[in-house]
Amino acid sequence: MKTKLFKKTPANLFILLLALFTFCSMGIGRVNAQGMSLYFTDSNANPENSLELNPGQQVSLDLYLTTGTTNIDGYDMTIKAPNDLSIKAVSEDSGAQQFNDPLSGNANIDIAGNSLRLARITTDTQNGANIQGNLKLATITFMAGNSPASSSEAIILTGPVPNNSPCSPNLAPPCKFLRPNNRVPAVVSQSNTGSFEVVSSPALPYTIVSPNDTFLNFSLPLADMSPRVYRKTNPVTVCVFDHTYSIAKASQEFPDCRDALAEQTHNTIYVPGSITNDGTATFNMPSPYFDLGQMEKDGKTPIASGAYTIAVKPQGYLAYILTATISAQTLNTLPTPASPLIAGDINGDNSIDIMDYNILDTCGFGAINPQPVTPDCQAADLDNDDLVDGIDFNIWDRGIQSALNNP
Amino acid sequence: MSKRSIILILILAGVTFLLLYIALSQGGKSGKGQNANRILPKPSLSQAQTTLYLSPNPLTVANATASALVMINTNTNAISGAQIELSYNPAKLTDVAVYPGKFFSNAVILLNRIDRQNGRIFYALVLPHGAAPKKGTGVLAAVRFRPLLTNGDKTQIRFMPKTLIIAPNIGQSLLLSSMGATVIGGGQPSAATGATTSAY
Repeated sequence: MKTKLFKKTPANLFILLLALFTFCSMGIGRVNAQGMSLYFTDSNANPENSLELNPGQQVSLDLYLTTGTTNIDGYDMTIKAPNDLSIKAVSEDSGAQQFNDPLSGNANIDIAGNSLRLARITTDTQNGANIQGNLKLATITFMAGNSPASSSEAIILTGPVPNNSPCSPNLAPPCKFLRPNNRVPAVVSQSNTGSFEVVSSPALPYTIVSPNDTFLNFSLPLADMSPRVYRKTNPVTVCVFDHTYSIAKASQEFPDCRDALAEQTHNTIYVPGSITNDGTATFNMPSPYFDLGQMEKDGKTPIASGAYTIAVKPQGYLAYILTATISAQTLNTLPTPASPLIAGDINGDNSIDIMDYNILDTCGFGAINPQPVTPDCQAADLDNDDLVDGIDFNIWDRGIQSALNNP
Repeated sequence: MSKRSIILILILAGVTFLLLYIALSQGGKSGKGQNANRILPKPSLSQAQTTLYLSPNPLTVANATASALVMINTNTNAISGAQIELSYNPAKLTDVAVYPGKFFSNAVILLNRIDRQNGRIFYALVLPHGAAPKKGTGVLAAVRFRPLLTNGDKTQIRFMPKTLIIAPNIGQSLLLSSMGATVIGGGQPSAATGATTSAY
């Protein structure tokens, strides 16, 4: 026997009509934004232009973002519901999960403001710029009020104040950033039957912008002049500690910082460097890598201006840890360390010791005929010559002696 | 059992295997970035079974050259090397030197550094590449020094955090515990006191 899920009776139909706000990109001078839209659907993925609700009734709608053929790296929007239509719940969906970094700390409902911010970017340096399609961002549950207001109200979708910095195609993330650049009302009006009606909003443009964040430039003199750090694929990890951390504390905390960042991948910067005759690698993070240097405390919260303890660690080297004043939303250049960074930290725990030697030994150092390095042993190949051999041991040995001289 | 039940069971089994496959494959991926540098597996707590201690303890010395032995007991571990970091009071112990013990035959000394100003000993020795890892108890090293202690005066030699034990294909130290020694001036010298370097 079939069950009728929804039974409409005159008594039940008090109504709130909900939702569709569709925003289409008109791409004002920006071809990247063309063809994008946001829209709500029911649970069967049918776009909803209107919906009737009883007083006190809940409804869940899926929010989709269609990018067309444009690759995007993120989105940031705030949905504010009108009076008598509250946002009760939200769960992010598969489309959102493609963006690994929840800028607002996952989707959170501001109960007082009756609003919801959805904001994510991807920091995947390999695939981040390739997100496109029909993305199911979230399922949002609305609840109609018990006493519908008679005046018209609006659902409002806003984004941060846009930054119109130019951003060319095919850049590494998170250069391109999707956000609505205008307040886009969706009109709610009372119908003849006492219901509310939400009509679709006019199509308004999006602007693809570069986030107005904080950046670091730095130069590192490196002992042994290993070519390793100059490869684009070798990471330079940057950790920003609360300024109350001492340098010694930051050094102790570095492994945790590294692990946290490895999960976030947010402050792990993959940058090409250039080498000078004195063995100094300069990381000036030129476009398209510039945005990868955006600094966020703990990989989450944009940092404010102030003094911070900063650790900059090329793979294989002990970290350069310093206290520096950072000005938010601008380009900062760190002072260059007075002495070369010390190589030999193979296991990445910011210490050079026998544990690193153990990896050298495991990876074939000491063998009569060293074999080409396997992927697991690349970190032990300190001189990046595809062999783990006596040269790598010498770098490690010099490193451990230097580390003892400069505790 | 009806056909429908059998089909349902088969579908459920298929879904179960699919989910299991996804879970296992994602588990492998999750650690990829995080463990980029950790190419050796970490030991579990129960794997770390090696203990280090100084002997004798307490060590009673006269004002002549004395030695404290760094003893090792690997229990179930088969190890390939050790790094020792010891601290001492340089105002109380002087002319400090470290020698390898007989636990590792043909040991390669990777590190032998004594910071006489701050009272730190850094010493590391390993088996030659390819040698079979060693298990058991014995003298890992000996610390020789000349005490500057009055009768009944005490000072301590302590193990520090960079004391590490390694084994092939293990990514973390196998050191379970360590115990230093108290050096007491005057009185009848302890057994290891004054031993020659060949006796370790």
